[in-house]
Amino acid sequence: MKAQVKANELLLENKAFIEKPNKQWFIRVFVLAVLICIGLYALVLQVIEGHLITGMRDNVVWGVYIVNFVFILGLSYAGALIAGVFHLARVEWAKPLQRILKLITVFSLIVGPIYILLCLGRPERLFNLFLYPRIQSPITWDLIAILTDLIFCVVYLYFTYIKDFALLRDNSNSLNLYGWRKKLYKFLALGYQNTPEQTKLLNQALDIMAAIIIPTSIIAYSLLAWLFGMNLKVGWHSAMTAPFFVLSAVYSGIALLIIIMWIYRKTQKLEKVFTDNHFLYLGFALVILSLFYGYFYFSQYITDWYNLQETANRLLDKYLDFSQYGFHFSIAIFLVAFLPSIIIGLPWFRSINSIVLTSVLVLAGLWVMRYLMIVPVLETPYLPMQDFRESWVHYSATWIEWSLTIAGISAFILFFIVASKFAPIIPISEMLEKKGENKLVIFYKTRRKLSKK
Amino acid sequence: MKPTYILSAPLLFLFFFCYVPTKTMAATNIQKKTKTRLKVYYEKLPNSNKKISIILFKGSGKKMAGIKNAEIFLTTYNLEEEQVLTSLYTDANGEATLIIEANYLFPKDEHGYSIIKAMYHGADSLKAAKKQIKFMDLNIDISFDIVDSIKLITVSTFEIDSIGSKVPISGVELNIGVERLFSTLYLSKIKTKKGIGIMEFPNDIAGDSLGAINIIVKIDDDDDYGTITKSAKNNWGTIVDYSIAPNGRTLFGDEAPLWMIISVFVVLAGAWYHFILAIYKVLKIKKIEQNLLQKS
Amino acid sequence: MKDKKGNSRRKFLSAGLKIGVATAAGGLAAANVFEEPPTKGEKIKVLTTDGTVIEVEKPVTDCKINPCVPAKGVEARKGIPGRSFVMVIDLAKCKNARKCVESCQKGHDLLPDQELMKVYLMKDNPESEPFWFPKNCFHCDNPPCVKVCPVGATFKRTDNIVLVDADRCIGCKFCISACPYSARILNWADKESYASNDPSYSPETQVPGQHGTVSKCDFCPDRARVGKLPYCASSCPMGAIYFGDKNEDAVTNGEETLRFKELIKERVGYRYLEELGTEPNVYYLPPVNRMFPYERGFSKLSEEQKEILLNSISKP
Ligand code: SF4
Repeated sequence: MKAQVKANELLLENKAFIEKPNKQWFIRVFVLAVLICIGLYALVLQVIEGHLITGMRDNVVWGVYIVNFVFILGLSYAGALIAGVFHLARVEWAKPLQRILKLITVFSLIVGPIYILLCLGRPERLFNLFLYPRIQSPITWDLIAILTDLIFCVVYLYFTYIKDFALLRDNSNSLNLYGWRKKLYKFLALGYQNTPEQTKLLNQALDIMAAIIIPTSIIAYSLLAWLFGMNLKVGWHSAMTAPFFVLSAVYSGIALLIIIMWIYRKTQKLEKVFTDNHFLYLGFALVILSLFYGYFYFSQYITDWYNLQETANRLLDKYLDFSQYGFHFSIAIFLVAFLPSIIIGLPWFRSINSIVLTSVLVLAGLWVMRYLMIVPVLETPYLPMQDFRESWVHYSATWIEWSLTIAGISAFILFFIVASKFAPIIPISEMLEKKGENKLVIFYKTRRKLSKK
Repeated sequence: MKPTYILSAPLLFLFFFCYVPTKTMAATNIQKKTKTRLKVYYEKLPNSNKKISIILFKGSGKKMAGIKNAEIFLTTYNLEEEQVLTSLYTDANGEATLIIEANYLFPKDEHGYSIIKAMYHGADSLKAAKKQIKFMDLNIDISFDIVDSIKLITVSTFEIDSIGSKVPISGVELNIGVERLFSTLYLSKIKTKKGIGIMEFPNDIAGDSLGAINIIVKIDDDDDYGTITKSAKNNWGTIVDYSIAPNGRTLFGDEAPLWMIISVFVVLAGAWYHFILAIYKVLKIKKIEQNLLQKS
Repeated sequence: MKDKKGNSRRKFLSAGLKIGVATAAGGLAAANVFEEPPTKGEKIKVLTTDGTVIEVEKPVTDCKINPCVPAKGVEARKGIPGRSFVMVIDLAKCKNARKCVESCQKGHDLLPDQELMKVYLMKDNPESEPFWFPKNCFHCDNPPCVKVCPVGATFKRTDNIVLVDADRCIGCKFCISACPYSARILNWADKESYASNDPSYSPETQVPGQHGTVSKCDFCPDRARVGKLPYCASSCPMGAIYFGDKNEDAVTNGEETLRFKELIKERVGYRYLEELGTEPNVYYLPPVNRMFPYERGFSKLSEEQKEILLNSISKP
């Protein structure tokens, strides 16, 4: 009961952020909506005029769209994976992060697949995927995995909200809310009254969901990696692809988590919730992941370096040639593989702001690395590219692709703004549960069995 | 005012200079008729019908163009006397064809030659043209023998004289081949001696699933005999197996390999089972609340 | 002399037949339909045994494979029974005349910059002389593109041909990136003659095309049905492209017919990138004893284009 009281306090302390929105909030939403509308205009143009107005051509058939798709879905799987592991391992300090992680998961799962639709020549025929499915195709795997993951993650997100919805329902009279929101909370709380029986059931359900979401997200992201790995292209056709993808996903997920945490800490004055320690711990995670990333990258490229096969050589030359992708490559690899070690790993530059700045740079670097993993490979077919049309040989994205990219990011931010207005951005009830209160079912049982013996 | 006059005078001159000569040149162009040419080919088809193909065209090389809708008159000579056969119209490519049935008694001269004369009378802008060809009506017979397990194709070439008896013709060049989808695959070229040519048929010519092949004997654009094609079927070809042996590990077929279907199913079933279990637990929460309300 | 005469005539007749075929097959290829009134010579006259003259319809095509019209829908996915189409390209004869590219574009109603047949300039090693390398779809026996298609819009037939059903294609472009031979293209821009779900569409002709779907060399099975060689093979002035049926063990370039196995054996024919295990059905005869220097192929290109080609084959 003590926790309950505390939860009410905490909720009322932060009530301004979920109460009726103010003018500033509407301005933010409006700006994002404008950005999304520009993207929609670009989309309409693309539908009317065809894909010729994008930078994609017969060699580079997938451009920024696929980079975004891979990148954003990576964030999603990372969110699910990290949240699941933290939940099952009962990592106490990570409890306040749970909600952000799950929101990242769901929102990027909604935004990401849109990019693959943008990439289709005939998006209106998508239903053919269900009419004539071919299990052998990695795209079918992806379709199944993304759909499954989306359903699981949305439901999981909702489950984790139930306790807080109950809290909001119980406190709705002391909050300044629209009437419909009060009704909605009542409906969504599913009659959760915090009885021990209900708590046990809900906790069990949460454990099950966390347990199935971890493998689902790993499988789903590996399947996405095999979209490339199952391709005969030099540079993609490698057994490294899937593990490397999963690692990069977790890496980018943590970087984004730090950024979002910082933003809420600044705007919602949550210094007591998102403590300095949180930044430090995640910062160290970033360092470790950056080293892993460097290790993976090195092992992939040292192998390629020793490979004398002609096409592989041509590809490697493109990464190292400063007139081609040399600059992008060296800057990006510095950002993702070395920067965290220098800024966060060494004590001299370490601070909350530097950790956040590093996260931003790492996130950007990882996007560029994804771009470098996709576009130069497509620009390096087995046969020489003997096209007299420059745009057919070298890919460069047009404003259509960029504005749709910005629209996607805006949509992602917009979702966050709306979600954090609808319910607290921190899982209040969960956070205040006492340590050891919520035991894992399976441990509980085995321990009992052991003690019986 | 003055400068304009000065300017316009040479312009006027220039105008006449340019205009008048082109006009007269165009006029002469119409009067000058284009030269046309006729080509006539004689061909004996496998069913012994005779085919006369005619092309009427102007220009040559790349500029060669057929003349359409032109009437071509065909005549022949029967004992020094010109006899009208028929007239033909050319099609869009300037081509026209006449088929002469096998049993039609085509007049011959004392040397055994038949004559066909094609005439085009010309038109407003086209000159007349004529062309005459002569040909001898040669017959081909094909027979197959196997001697000491060697497959032999025997071809006899002969003419039929006025009393209907066969006169062997020697020294005729024959191409022997087998019919394929797009063309004839020629195997050898032989010359008849005493009206007979023999060819040894190779053992490794692909037939169909039963080994059937169609042997083609052809005389190609001979000065005397034109083009003659004759064919006969037998089953001397090798038997080709049309069934395709599937490559075990390929994935391009319509059906996915079983292990893939099973693993997808198992993974999905496992995940969805637990998912439904979790949903069931959460739905129970609602029930418990209802129970609570009833109690109170 | 005699041979030459025969050749020019054959060309002449074949030109005529092309139009005949096109009109007969009900406007099969939109590009070939001429808006001209019929001529009086559309019928053939026959002089019968009794000396009378009758008129009969022109035998429009010689139907070699039943049915003679391009297969549609499910039928098009099966393949012509008992056929196993192959192509042999004699690199010693190619001089980048680009007639194959042009006639293919015309026959398949392509834009001038869409090439189902491309001619590359290749060089095997720094010491060897460059050569011209016409490349279409190899119709692999183990096609990587078919494997990855999520909807089965591209498929392998029993007659070796790999086709695309543009009515089903969702334009995901996965197959384009999966093809190691860069054989596939997308119809990026819309065109007036394009139509979706058109009743006259057949995967065998790929006409009318469809916007946003994949297109590729189809080995022209619609032409094989009437005994015609593919556009490329029938238009090459050098006779560099041979086409035929492996089951019949014969390939022809329209002038000469050769035995496929013998040809590959004697001229040491090879398949491009054999090591990928895709098992192509297009064979190449090495560019030895060439009929002319490769520089001839530059005649239609600008200096700049020449530079691009030469740069792309010289290894740094
Ligand atoms: S682009 Fe069309 S044919 Fe190619 S894989 Fe996608 S759906 Fe199949």
